[in-house]
Amino acid sequence: MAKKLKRFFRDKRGITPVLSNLLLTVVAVAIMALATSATYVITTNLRENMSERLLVEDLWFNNSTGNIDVYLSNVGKVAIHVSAVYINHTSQSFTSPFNLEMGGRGWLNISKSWSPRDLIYLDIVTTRGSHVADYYEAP
Amino acid sequence: MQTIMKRLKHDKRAVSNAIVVMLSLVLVVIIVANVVLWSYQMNQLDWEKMQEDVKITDVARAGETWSYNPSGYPPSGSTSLVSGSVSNLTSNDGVYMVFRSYATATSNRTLYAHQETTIIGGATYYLQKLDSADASGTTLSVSGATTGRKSTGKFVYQLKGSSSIPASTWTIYYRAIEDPVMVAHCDVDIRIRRADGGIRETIATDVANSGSIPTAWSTLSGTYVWSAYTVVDQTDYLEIEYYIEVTTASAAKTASLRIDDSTLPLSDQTRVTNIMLPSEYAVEVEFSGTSNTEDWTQLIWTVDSAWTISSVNVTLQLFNYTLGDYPTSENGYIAYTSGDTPNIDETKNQTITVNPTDFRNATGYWRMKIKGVKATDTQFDFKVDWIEFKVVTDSGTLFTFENAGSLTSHVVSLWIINSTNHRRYDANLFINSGEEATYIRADIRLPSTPFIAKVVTERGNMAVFARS
Repeated sequence: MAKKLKRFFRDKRGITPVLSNLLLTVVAVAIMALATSATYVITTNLRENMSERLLVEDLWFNNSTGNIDVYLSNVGKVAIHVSAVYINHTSQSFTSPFNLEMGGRGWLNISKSWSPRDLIYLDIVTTRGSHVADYYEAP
Repeated sequence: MQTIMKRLKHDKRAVSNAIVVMLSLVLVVIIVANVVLWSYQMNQLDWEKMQEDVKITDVARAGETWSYNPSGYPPSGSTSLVSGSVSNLTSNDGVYMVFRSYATATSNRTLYAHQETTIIGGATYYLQKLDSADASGTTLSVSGATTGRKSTGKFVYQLKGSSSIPASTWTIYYRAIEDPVMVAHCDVDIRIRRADGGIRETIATDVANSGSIPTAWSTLSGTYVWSAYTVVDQTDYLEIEYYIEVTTASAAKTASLRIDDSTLPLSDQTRVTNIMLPSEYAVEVEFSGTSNTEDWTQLIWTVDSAWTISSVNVTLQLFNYTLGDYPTSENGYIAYTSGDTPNIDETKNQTITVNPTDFRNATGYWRMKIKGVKATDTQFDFKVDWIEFKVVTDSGTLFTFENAGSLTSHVVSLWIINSTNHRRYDANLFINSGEEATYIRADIRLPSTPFIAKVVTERGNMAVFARS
């Protein structure tokens, strides 16, 4: 047995193929990991864009505050972050940050005064670039 | 074959290339599959959203309702019960409780002598009416051959609806003529005659003497000071017997009284003026009943009734125990003028949602007053068919949904919106395809109308119901 081990350690020709195979495996795994990560990154953005669904459940021309309150519901498959709110194509300030997890809901308070019978075009934009827009008339 | 295999084993580059190609393919497939699969899922989500069709068919207060009818009617005013009882007031079935009006005001009226007759106790009497002459006229003649008072006719007017005849000075006008030579004048006897023909009271005899009757048709007059009289029975008649009293007789001569001649001006017609007779009648009835002492959210009170005369000014009032009186406006008060056609049922109701418990006492007792007034000389009746005192306790809101879509819907939000508030409630209701579902929410109190109810499904569809 001791003889066999001695021969194994003295035989330098067997080491090189093993190392080269091992190195090749490591390199291959690394390349695959990189490729998989790249795939994930590439597809995630596309997938998230497709998955955004934002619903305006209610819009309240709030007499008591004089502002416009919008109740938003995330009915999509991904969390939503509202990045901008436009009324009649003009950017408005709102309760920021406004984030909705999947299935989340909440009031988005827009600091915008209004008058009776006003017709507004509301456009809510998410960070991924999705728009939810419609016309609303004040009571 | 062996050669090929041998070459393959020795050619390491081929194996490496194959592995690289395979791995690349796997990566491409993963990328494409991921995108396609996700796109498919989102498309399916959108398609399902399009297929969904939820409607709100009704939104109403869910609560227990109690209905009560009057159990009594304490006497009020001089209104008299003609027929029926409170048991007739439980349903709108055309079976009435009937009340008769009473005179609430008098004014000086004129009774014209008419030629139409009526039978009282087997005897024939002429009628006196508030309307002027409406016929070609009749001449009532008496003989002038002998002296003395000679009756030309007895004229009656029924005291229906009159509780009294106040004092006043009557002026009695006679349209009369006599033949030459004889001398005569007109006068009257006044009495109250019972409906059976007997005399209840003789008021005056040989009064309201006129001057001497001329030999040409003339209008004479005499006065009588009437003292207040309390009517004993409203079926009695006021009787005026017109006389011609001959003071100088002459054979074959006559004296005459002309009545009911519409060709004569009013001032020349035979009549009695300045008699104080009813000019306004009223019915006033107060009903009472019991109820419960629950926490009411709504009170709906209804009266279905008719009047035997047109255009009666009616007020319906519900006693306000907080106010300690019958209200004269808004809740607990309904005023209207009855229709142009008599005897047509009219249903009036009012829903009280603000402090409905003000209209009962601590034991649930309630009172309702109905009053009808009309300026008329004709007594009328009030026919009440149905009185309901309905109370509602609130146990939430009842939503009725209909799913006309092809997929089961999951309602996740309920909205109740009015002019002052937009209120959202979480919900968790599944409605199967083609089904109608009712959903009671004890925590939702509907505001007063108008309001909008809205539901949102998990897929992001909305249904709206507006109640005006």
